[in-house]
Amino acid sequence: MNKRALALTALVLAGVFQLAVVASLVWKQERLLSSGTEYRFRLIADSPEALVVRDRKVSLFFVVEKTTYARPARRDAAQTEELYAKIVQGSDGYARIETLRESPGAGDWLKVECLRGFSNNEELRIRLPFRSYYVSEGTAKRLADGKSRSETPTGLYATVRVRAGEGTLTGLWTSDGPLR
Amino acid sequence: MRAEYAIPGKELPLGTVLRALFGGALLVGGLLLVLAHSWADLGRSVRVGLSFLPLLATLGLGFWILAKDLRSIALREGVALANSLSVALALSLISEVYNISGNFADFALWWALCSLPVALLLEGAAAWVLFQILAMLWAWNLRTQGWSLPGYLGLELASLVLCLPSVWTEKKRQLGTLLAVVFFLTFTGALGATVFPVEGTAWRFAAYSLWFGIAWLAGGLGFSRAGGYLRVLASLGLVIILVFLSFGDTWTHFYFHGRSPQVDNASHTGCIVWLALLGMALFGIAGARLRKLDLLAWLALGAALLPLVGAWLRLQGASPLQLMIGANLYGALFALEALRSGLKEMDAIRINFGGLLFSALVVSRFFDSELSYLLRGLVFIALGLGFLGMNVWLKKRRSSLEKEGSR
Repeated sequence: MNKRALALTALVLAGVFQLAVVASLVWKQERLLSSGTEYRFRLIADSPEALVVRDRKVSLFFVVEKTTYARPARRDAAQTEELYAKIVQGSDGYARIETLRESPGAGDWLKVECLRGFSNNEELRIRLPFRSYYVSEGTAKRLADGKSRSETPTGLYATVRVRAGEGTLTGLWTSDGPLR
Repeated sequence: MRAEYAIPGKELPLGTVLRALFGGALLVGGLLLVLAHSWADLGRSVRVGLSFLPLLATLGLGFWILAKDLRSIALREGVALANSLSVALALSLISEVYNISGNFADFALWWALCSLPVALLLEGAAAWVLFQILAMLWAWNLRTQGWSLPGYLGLELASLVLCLPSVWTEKKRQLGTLLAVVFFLTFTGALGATVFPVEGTAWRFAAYSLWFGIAWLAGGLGFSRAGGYLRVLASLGLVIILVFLSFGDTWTHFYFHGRSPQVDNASHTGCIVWLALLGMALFGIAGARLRKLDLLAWLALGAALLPLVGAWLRLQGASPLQLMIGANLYGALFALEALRSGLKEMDAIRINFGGLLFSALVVSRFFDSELSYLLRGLVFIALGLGFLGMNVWLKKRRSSLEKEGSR
């Protein structure tokens, strides 16, 4: 094989690697969308006007992140840690976290980050892996201007599909419908 | 670009190049904004497809360049950099489409890993520099985990092994200089990612002094141009380290162990980092011995080991004052030998290093001594005259050598 053919082969392999890395992201998300269990996570903001919007990005803070949870045994409080949260549906229809563990078990589990500075040896607070949601330019402008579609919207929540410790955000909802 | 695209005999006007670049940038920027405006209205599959387009386009261009064996530097640099940015664009757009809230460390790592092979195949120096910066940022983002350097070293090793063949060839000597300088700076930055979270201050000094000592040795291994730059940078690093060590306060808290709960892991990390660097130093000595290792190189290595020896002596009960005096004497000896050998061999780097180190030590002593302003002023004047006199002497010596050569 001459030098040029070798370089071309190497480039093809490098290209396949690049495409595979990006495609694997797509594949993982599509798998979650098609076979994950859907949950509704309530947001701390109770109206669209209370959302923090920057460009087209809406920052998300969830009610489950305000609660403290029992720390799993044998975990050092000083460590930055990722734990698995068991997600169950509460009687109000919204998701809640039943327990935290170091590895997922039966049921729906989601990998969460433990918040440093809000943890001690007994309890800790968590952060869901969904920090932001992108909306259209028009919606972002309306939200930033404090002019939502409805005059009296109540309750905001995000829908999430969960499967095998991973999750993907599928939508952001008001009582009037989705924010797109 | 002007040199690349100019018609022989007709120089391409700078204004034309600038207008072309500015117009092109506005055109691409405008198209991107139009796309961004209607991005949310497009279906998910369309947005995913569009995310791959720049990547496919730059890969196609790269294939065309290699297939036709086009040697245009501008084209190769441009496509390699565009490919690297396309990787970042594709990862960002897919994250936006699926609302993935990833972390910067992962993003930087995958961006760096994906862009390196294409950058090297197309000999894109700009894309390689971007890789180095990304690898450093990745190491910094993982610094709290204490284990970023082993991974970083792996990345660097892969990068160096892949790019060395092109650096070593004669025509790439100038590129070799760029790579050496960028590598030195990014590695210096990444080293901080591992040693700064470590509790014991001794590890930080030990790791950095050893790294600067290695760079000094590498600078003397025969890369004429790149070696000069490396020695300048390494000597600046050594001056900083030696000046810090010349203060008594530095030695007061000079230990390998801190008091945090992570001390065991951290010390372990510090030890491994230091051993890895020591291995590199030994490799450097072996290489340098082939080219006659002079006293100054040994002194550079001694300076590299100074923090380790000092920390050990501190544990044996040596006082900060004793260690401070020792460090000052060593620094002065190092500076004077640099000046002596530099003047003997007419080596400006050694002379400047020696002069800089000596004056930095003298000036530093003014901060922790009770000398009068008059005495301080006189010493400053003497040092200033020394530098100016040295320049005059060097100039005369050069001109006399040139005259002898012309005869």
